[in-house]
Amino acid sequence: MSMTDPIAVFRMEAAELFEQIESGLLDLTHRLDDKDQIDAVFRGLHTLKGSGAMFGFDALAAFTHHCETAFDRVRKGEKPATSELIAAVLAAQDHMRALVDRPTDDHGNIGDILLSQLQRAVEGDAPVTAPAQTVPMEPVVKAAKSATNTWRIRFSLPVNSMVNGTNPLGLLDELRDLGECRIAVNTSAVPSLDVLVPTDLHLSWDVTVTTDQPRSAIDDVFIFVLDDMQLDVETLADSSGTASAEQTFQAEQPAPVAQAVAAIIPAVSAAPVPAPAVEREAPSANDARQAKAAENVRVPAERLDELMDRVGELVIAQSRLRQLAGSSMDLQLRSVSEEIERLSGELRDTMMVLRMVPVGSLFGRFRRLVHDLARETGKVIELVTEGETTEVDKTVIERLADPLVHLVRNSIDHGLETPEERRAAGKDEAGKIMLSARQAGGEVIITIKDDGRGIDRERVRAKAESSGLIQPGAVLADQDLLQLIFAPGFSTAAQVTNLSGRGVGMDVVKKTVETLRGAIDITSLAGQGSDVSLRIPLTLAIIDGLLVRVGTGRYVIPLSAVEECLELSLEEDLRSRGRSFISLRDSLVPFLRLRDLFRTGTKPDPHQKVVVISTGTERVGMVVDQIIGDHQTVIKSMSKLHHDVATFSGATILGDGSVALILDVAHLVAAGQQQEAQVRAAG
Amino acid sequence: MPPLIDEYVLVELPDKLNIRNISNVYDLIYPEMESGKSLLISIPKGVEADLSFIQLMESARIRAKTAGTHIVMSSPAEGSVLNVLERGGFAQTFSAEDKKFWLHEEAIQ
Repeated sequence: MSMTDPIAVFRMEAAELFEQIESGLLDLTHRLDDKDQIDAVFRGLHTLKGSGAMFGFDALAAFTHHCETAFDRVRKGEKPATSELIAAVLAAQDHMRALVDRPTDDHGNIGDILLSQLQRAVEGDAPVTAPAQTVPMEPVVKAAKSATNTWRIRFSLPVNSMVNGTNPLGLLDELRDLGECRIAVNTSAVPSLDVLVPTDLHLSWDVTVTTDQPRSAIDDVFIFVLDDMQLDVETLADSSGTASAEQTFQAEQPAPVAQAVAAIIPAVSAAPVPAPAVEREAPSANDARQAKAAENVRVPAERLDELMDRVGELVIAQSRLRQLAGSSMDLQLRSVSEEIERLSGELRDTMMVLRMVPVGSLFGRFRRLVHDLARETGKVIELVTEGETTEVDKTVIERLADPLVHLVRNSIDHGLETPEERRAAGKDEAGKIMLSARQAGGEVIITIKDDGRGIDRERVRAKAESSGLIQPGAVLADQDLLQLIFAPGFSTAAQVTNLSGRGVGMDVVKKTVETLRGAIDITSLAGQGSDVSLRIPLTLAIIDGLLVRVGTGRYVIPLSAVEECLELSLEEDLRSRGRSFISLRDSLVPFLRLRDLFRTGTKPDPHQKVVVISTGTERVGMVVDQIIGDHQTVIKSMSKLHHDVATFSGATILGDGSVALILDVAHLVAAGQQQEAQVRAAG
Repeated sequence: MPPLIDEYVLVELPDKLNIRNISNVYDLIYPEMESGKSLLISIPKGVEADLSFIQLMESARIRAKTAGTHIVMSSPAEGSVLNVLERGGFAQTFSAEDKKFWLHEEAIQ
């Protein structure tokens, strides 16, 4: 049978818990008295500890226990939440991650150091940098013990609760601690061995507890699992002998174990007890969350990749079929071919949507980075994010993470000024970093904007000249000058810091973006800040392309970049020789003759076409011999041998089995613009 | 009629009968049961058990009933198995059949 590895499941759950804890901690930094966030962090730590112990991550469980204890004290109002405590727990969380990822490694005394930091933060020995931020917690009013009640508690947990680290025995033990307790298990939902998934839980419980503790004490037992479970609590009798109905969290209930209940409450059963009218709650937010969770299925990413590959092969096969059908007179074959084309197109679109993930998952990571950098640099930084719901192919998201880290670090280190400098410049003390995403056609544009000092163009030029990147006094367009910061080894930082200044990073950013078939635009205003935009294609797998012929070769131009197609008459062709510009609605657009660029050695077609492509504001025309038509292009990467050929971003297989190269639009536009600049420079 | 003791297939379980190892325990029991044999389950001393094991055994008992085979334990539950039965609320609601299976206790006629 196929079973999920429980350790892998735990690691996945732990990753989610880390995100939840981190997000809660970072939210707390803004509202130190936010009780909900304090509870959320505590719950996350508690669950992590419990699950860790359950799955044999004993070091993790022991270490997390200390953090949990610290937050428990905050939760109970014994200690205030402070920025020092949050920083200590964030640092401790990194160690927890290491304990999850590498449980058998020797982690030295890192844990002890972190725990002593935590201890100092809790006890308030750490230097308090911002006393105003320390908000004393409201003391928790301990609920007075109430009269003795008998409660009937029926509960069931989700089937995956054991594999997720919940131990129902622990819950039962906690109920026992409340008072006299009778526990009956219900096994009626346990399936036969041939259909059992052994890690699933099919047991439910019917518990009767007589206690002087209030109802909230029962809720506390289930506090960490309440969101996902079914819980039904009724008062069977209070000390006055009155039976009443309480609260329920579920619509359906496990089969009752009436005998067991009757045995424990003879006094009640002897009296004429009205049947408890169990009040049903309206569906809560938890119910809605649960229902929503049930609608989602977690699928390993590699399965999506496999499926994408299959869809890619299907698209290629469909392309072959279309070609065969096109050359056949068989109307039925044509009809089937069209139907398959439509279906494969729909399948491709559905597949694309499946691979899309909101960019917010990427932005979320930067909250921690900005928090840490703010502490490290002493700068006051406000992170603003926009367009988190913009969706991008998951591979793009994964590969963009590191470049964005470099850019954000760079903005904070080089761009933002210290609070003193900002005040002196008449700016708000808090520097702003804005991360935004938006979709534009077939691209997503991710922008990192800061309101710092801006890029010092003179320093960039001086550095570029001294390192030989440009000739002294070379005439450069502003964009080209700014793009120099992405050159390998380039750094204007006077001082190498932990954050940046080593000249590595920005060139890696550019390379990564280019391998994603993207481009970087940069603008900067002195004293007002910089704006770096990454333009990335929405997907890396299949694109709509325009298939063209140049000489005897066929090439694909990404359709999202195509603005329009024009015919280049022989007369215009001759007239434009030597300058390569066409007039397009009163503006001159440079164009490249691909036949010349690729040195095809063929004669131009009498009816050549100009395909105008653009990247943002820049446009360039490409002269081709023939436009064959649109083509669903399954992108295959180029071999290592062709890695340096910048003109092409990949290849695709056509319906007849031949290969067509995919043109790298960004590179060609840059080449066109360069040609224009040279012509202008030559006067 | 239950089979004679030598007609049972002995299934010797590992010392980890918990959620971390329950899939392996399942893989020991399930194929034998599907071959139509009656099973004698042997649990070593000092095992580490949790609810997943008790549930697995309950599930095996259901399967045995449907398949017309038998499943018995070589010795009464003790140690952590017994502890889970008690803490989990099984022991309190044992039927005579449950007691016979888990505790080897026969009802006095």
